[in-house]
Amino acid sequence: MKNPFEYEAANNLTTQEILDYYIEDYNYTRFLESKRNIFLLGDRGSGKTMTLLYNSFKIKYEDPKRNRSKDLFEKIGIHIPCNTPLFHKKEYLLFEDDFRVQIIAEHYFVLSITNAIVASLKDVREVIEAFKDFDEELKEDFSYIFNIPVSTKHSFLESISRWIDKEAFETQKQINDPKNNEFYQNALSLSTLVLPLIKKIKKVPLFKDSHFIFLVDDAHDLNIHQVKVLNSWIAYRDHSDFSLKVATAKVNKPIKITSTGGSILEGHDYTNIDLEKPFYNKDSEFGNLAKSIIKKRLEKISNIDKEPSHFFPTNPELAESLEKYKEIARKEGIAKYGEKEKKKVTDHVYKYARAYYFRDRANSRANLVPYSGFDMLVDLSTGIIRNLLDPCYYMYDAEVSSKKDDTKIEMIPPKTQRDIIKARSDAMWKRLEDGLEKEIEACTESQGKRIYQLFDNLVLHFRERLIKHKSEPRAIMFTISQVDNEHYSELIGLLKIAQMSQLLYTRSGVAKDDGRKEIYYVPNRMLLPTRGLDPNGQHARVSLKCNDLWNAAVGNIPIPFNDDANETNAQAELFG
Amino acid sequence: MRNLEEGNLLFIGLSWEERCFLGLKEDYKRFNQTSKVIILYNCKSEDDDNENRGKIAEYCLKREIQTEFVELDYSDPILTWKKIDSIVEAHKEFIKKPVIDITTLPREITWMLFFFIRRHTARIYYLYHSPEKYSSDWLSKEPGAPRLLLKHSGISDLNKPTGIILLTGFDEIRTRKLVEYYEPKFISLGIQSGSNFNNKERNSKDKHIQVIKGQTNFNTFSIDAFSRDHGLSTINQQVKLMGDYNIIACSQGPKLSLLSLYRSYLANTNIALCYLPSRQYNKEYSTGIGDTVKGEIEF
Repeated sequence: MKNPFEYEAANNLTTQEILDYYIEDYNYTRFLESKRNIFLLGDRGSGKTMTLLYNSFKIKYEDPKRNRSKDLFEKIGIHIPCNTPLFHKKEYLLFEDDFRVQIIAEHYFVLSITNAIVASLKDVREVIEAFKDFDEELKEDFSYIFNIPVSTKHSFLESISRWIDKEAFETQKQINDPKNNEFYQNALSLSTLVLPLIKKIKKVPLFKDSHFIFLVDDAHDLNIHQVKVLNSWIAYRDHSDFSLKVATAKVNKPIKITSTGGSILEGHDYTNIDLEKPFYNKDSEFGNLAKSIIKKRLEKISNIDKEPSHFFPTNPELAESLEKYKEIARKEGIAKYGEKEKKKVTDHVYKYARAYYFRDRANSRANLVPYSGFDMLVDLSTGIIRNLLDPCYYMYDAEVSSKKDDTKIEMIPPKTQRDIIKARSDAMWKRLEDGLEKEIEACTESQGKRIYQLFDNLVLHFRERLIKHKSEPRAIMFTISQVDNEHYSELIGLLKIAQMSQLLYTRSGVAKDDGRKEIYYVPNRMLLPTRGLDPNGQHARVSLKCNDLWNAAVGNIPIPFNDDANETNAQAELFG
Repeated sequence: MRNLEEGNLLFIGLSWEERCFLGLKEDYKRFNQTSKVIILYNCKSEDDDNENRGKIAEYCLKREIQTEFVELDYSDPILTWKKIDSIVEAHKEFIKKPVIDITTLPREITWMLFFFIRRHTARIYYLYHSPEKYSSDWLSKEPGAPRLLLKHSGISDLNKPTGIILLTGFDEIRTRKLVEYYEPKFISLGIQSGSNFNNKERNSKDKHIQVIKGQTNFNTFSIDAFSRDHGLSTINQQVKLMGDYNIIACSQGPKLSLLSLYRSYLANTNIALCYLPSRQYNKEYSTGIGDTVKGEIEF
């Protein structure tokens, strides 16, 4: 029985699976189809690859909804994955001078792009037809420029494809040759292969207005030489025939230096787009996306036509208790503001109802909160698609394992949901306790210990707020104040490691004081169930002093609680 | 001092593990014509001043065996590659009967030695000394990013997906790391058979599956690195089965599996050999010395 919540890398999905699973966002499509160079920023699991693949020509052509579009051949998206063994090769670093290193780095890149262009087009019926009358002329031109024998048996694109295979094979063979340390003399570049190839393709009327969009995926995996090559292409003046859309993680973003030592500038050479969406409640942009993703997967893979909230029902006791506390908060709001002040009463309920429930649970010796329900899963995801699918996968798996027959899984009982949420939350804390140095390259043992202490104290601080804070008891995000502190950069170093481990996320919002943009930090909400906190949170961020955070990390000193802390109403922005 | 031209040239890795020095004594019992010992050590660890260094020097001096301590930076494969190249090149006249004690040499360094030595000779003797026991606590920390071995990075087909053959070890976090790093479409997990060193519990199939479930497709197979061919035929069979992938092969299991993986690479040079470095090892990693395995590889 296939688990509908598998979250394997999008690169490994079939065309049909991509079409089945992806939920289109027209905002991104608009940007990705523009002629501008774009950096698409998102954390691991936020859907970067899926977005690029969905906008690639190969997938578009297979999509009955889109393949009749009049601009199908005007915008040709070419997906170029960088996390392949070819990009991980390092032999060229054995060359003594940087110039040669750069040349081979570009050569591998160019081979991958050319292969991707040809692979995207060569089997498409309309393309084969369109090339028929031009094949011989193009082959002759190409053969002349590159001094290569072009097969008479194959089409132009097929001939290029075969030649690229051979080039890739020859290059790797020579560079890996034990007896040979020579430089590869026939190295290719963007201007000697990719651009001439595009010009040739544009000779065919079907492509005369085509703009090629290179969808460069996982750019954070590129080494510094490859990044410099990529930046040089971004800095290229003439982008009428091609543009680059580069997907990269927020941490370890590639540097912005080109091969010649220049830099590329935001606004001038490229635009940044943040892939993360507002996710504060079930009706938020992310909440709706999450709902569509789960619904589509249930339909397409498990043949279940059910609302996600029915597939992941909330524990009745939890639902009832939350209603009860809503009523308490509503009565309290009415007593405070009067029945006519509806908005103020609603705000009061929003702020306090859940807080009262979780506060009572925290103060009592009751068992673990029965964490369950689709909305809870959305909250626990912290706005990251892979985080949404992870517990769902384990819940489904647990149900399959406990079943004695082949009947369909029609829903995940609340008890299974609670058990898995607890187990996934405990596992996340165990990773922290064991030390992130066990899994993160840049992390030392001492940093691992500090990160654990920092998170432990942060969560204790949030718990104290939940119990004592008068106006924003459910705030679970923070900003850092007093950044001129001597330990600020070391603290940021720790937070970066936590981001690399997906235990912490950043968002950008408008600061309350002066209206400028500020970065705020969102701990992975899956950390909260183990400590009995509410993953739902509220639109508030706690301003914490750099020194207090540092003391928590280094000395395991509790973060001081201040009921009058300067907090900001948060509204994450789509485009940071 | 002994004449280099007649004796064996022995390569070992300096380590604080007891079996480093105890192993050298065992090596000498089996190769008593050894004329020089080349001791490779990592400048980024405390190997430089560990007590085995003095013991090795003294032991060799008494027997008129030449020694050379070679400083390497294990975290920099480019520099290490060049240094090993120059060391082997400097001894090329005397490299007729090379012996490598792989016990405390990192896998990457051993493979580099194989590469440079086979330029001069077609036969290498190897030795491996099991410990008496491994620590029951953690064995290594601070893993670096996985990396493909220089000049052994395979021949990648631009149209094939990535597949991994991993000979698993005691640390399932490394299995997860490999999957997260390369995002393979498929991973074949080779699990060491037998119950030596509590293998069944510490290297259980389920532990490794648990950390990659949902992220990629996988299968498992059983392998015995202590068998006569150190699992070579099993690895070759997996390589054959994964013909539709660009294969990255990695050994985290018993040290002897690096030999079979290397031999498999020589027969299938399109696969890539991968190394997963670690910056910190438990000082109590192992105690004592157990059985010795001796053999030879013909290239």
